[in-house]
Amino acid sequence: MPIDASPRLRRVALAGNPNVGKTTVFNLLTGMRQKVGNYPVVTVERKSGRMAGDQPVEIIDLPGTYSLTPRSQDEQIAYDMLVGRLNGEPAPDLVVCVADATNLERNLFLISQIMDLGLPTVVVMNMMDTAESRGLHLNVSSLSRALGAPIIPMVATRKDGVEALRKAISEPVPPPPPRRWRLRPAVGNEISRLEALLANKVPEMAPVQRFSEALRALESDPALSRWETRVPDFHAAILEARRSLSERNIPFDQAEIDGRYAWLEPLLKFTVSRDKDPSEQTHSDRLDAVLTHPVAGPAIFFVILMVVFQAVFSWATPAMDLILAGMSELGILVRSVLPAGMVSDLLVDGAIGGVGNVLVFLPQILLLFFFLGLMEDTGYMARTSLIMDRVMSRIGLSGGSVVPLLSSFACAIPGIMATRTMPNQRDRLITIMVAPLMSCSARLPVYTLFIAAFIPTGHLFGFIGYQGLTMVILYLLGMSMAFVAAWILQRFIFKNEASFFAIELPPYRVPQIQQVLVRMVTRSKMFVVRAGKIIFTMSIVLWFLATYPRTAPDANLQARQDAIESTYHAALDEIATERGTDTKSLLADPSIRHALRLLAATDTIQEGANVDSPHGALSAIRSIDPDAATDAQAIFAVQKVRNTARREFSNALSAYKIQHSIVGRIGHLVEPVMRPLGFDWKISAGLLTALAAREVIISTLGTIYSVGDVDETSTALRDHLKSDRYEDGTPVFTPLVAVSLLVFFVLAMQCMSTLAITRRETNSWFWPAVMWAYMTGMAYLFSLAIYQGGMALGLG
Amino acid sequence: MTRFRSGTRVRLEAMSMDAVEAQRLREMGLREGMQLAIIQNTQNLIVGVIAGRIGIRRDLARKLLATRIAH
Repeated sequence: MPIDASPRLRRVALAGNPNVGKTTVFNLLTGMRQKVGNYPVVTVERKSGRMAGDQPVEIIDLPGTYSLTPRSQDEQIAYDMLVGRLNGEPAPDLVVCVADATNLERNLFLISQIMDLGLPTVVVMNMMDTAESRGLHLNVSSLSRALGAPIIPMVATRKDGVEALRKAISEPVPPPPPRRWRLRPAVGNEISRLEALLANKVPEMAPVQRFSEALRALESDPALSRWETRVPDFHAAILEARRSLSERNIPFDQAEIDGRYAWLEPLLKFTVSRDKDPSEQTHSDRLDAVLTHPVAGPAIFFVILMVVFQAVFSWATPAMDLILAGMSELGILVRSVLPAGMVSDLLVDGAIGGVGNVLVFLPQILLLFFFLGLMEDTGYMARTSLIMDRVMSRIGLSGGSVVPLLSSFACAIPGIMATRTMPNQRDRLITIMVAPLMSCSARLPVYTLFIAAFIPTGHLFGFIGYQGLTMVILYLLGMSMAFVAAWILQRFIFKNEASFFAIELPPYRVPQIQQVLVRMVTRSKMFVVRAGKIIFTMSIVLWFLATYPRTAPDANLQARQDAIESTYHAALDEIATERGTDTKSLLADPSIRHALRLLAATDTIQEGANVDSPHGALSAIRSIDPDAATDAQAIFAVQKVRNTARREFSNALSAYKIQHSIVGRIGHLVEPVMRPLGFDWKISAGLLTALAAREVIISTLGTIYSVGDVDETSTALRDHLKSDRYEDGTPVFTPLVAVSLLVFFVLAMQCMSTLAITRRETNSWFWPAVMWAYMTGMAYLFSLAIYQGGMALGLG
Repeated sequence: MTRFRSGTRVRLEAMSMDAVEAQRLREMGLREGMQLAIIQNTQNLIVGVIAGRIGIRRDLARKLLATRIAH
């Protein structure tokens, strides 16, 4: 049997506090060979990558945490990963702990917790340059001996120390020495008893792990609760230990912190010297005096955001247009190659259209993540959370919600993705659930169409335009309902979860553009691959629903089509008869053919041009063969009439087909439910197709009204909307119906792309379902109240 | 802690808050008996913890009991 000589994959976990440069180290080790996903069941990101080199090494970037005591999903995942408790994730072979050299005590707290698990550990002491500039001098070898782990000094932003780290990862590292810190005796005795119980009840657990498990369960309710069903005896023993220690007034929840710091403080006094007072004012403090000032801070933040969003809007638009144009050209190419039929329709309208629906978001997402990355890398992002926390906490959100919510004014998709920067899961989930209520750019064409059609152009008090005012009210309505929904969620749904807000403020730094770009590409790739699959699938489904069942034209339409062709041929026959020939010969005449080509070219370039002017297209031909010129003009006029009639017929046929498609039939089916809001089957069908993308309702209405290619500025569509009537002669669209529809659009969840990204970010279909239900329900009730209230007041 | 002006050095004496919140702050580096610097005291607090800086919501900072350190 051949021996498998391939080296085993070495798994290395990267751990550390937030803001220590762990991501930079990860990027330096893995380059672009990264994979990003979610851990099973939870919303925590799993980032891994292959280290460049001869040996197969997988680097797993654990969530940044201050402690392994699980109080959040991040900490739970980090702990479970390190002890090999996650499905499909064996414990790592090595842990690389990245520490901030300027903040050693706190960083070493986590590192000592990791070493207690008995895992081979290498410590990376990052930001050594900053430490030196602050007068901190580390005796690295002494610290390494005292700690019991190898230490690699590093300045990750300059790549100093990276090669030494690669070497350390590739070589065997011995497990750490036994624990060097002590719990206070009373707590230590209880832990020893609990360890013995674990040895009995869970024999497969590594002995070195029992201490950590017992300590975690004693200190932390989430850790304890996991034992309730797993080993009930152990769970009961923990509760008894807590009771016993509490009776003796021994603060068991502080025992670990007290014990570890009692060991770390003298250790650091011995190995670290300081030239300067560490709390004296720094450059960052001076900047913070301005950037977090109660008045200047929010003002500066507002200006920065306006610049960012303006850039995202204006810079992304040409790229988005390019993508749409590219998709359109691709569709034309495919149709020119394939025969007409179901396959080409599926490919062009379904598949290519679906891909377009995904890719069109990419420019905005790339740009937004670039700017967010800049804000994170400079350290400013943490300040924005602090500045806005006071306002946001009053409505059930937190400071970290601001940037995602404001991003959602451009598009909810990157806004929801931006919630990954929020450390508190409760706040993150509430922000995701309310972000779509911010009126996104896709709603703007709908607002524009209906406001222009139905809101009068006058002015309130002589200077506030009604139309502009309506637009502002719509935006404010969305924002207000977002805040109300957030308050309700935090008050009634997450009522047991406290919102804690304290945030580390890293020193301001010059951004590392390469790192920012790597993060931008990684996050955007995740959107395209994961959410893209769902969006693409739904696009195909909606195309199918809007196309099938294929309906042959009814007798009237068929007769109309026949009439167009017969009228055309009759007109040609008449011209041919007058010339003393037949139609075939007439159209084959070279002079007439040449004249027709010239007329077509003139018609394209210059509408209304006088073709008989001395420089007109026909002048040369008329001088040689006057009859040919005259006949060509007549034929051309007949052809123009036919082409116009064919276009109108095509629009009418499209409208007929959509009316008989599944979407149209569903529109008729739901009309009784939507009629109390003032919506007929056409609006209902339009709302259905808006699920693919909100602005699709405009092209759907254009199709239904046989107007052809339209956008929100189409006066033809506006006129059709205003003139449409029910059978009894009452108008379908009134200002009241328009307002009802606008309010519905503000509040309803109509964007399946948003639902897809919510599914992706929450790792569950539950929350997208809740989002759809509460937003659609709210939209229905508001529209109902407005329409019925308006009718009762005689405003209909 | 909110009664001290920016630039004051204080000693954190106690945390009068929910045990989970207190533990969270300890893990971030704030501990009873530590010397801290009030870097900024406006609508929220920024405290200097050795060389680090932590921004704390004002409501939470009110629950941190501290005494001034004489120069």
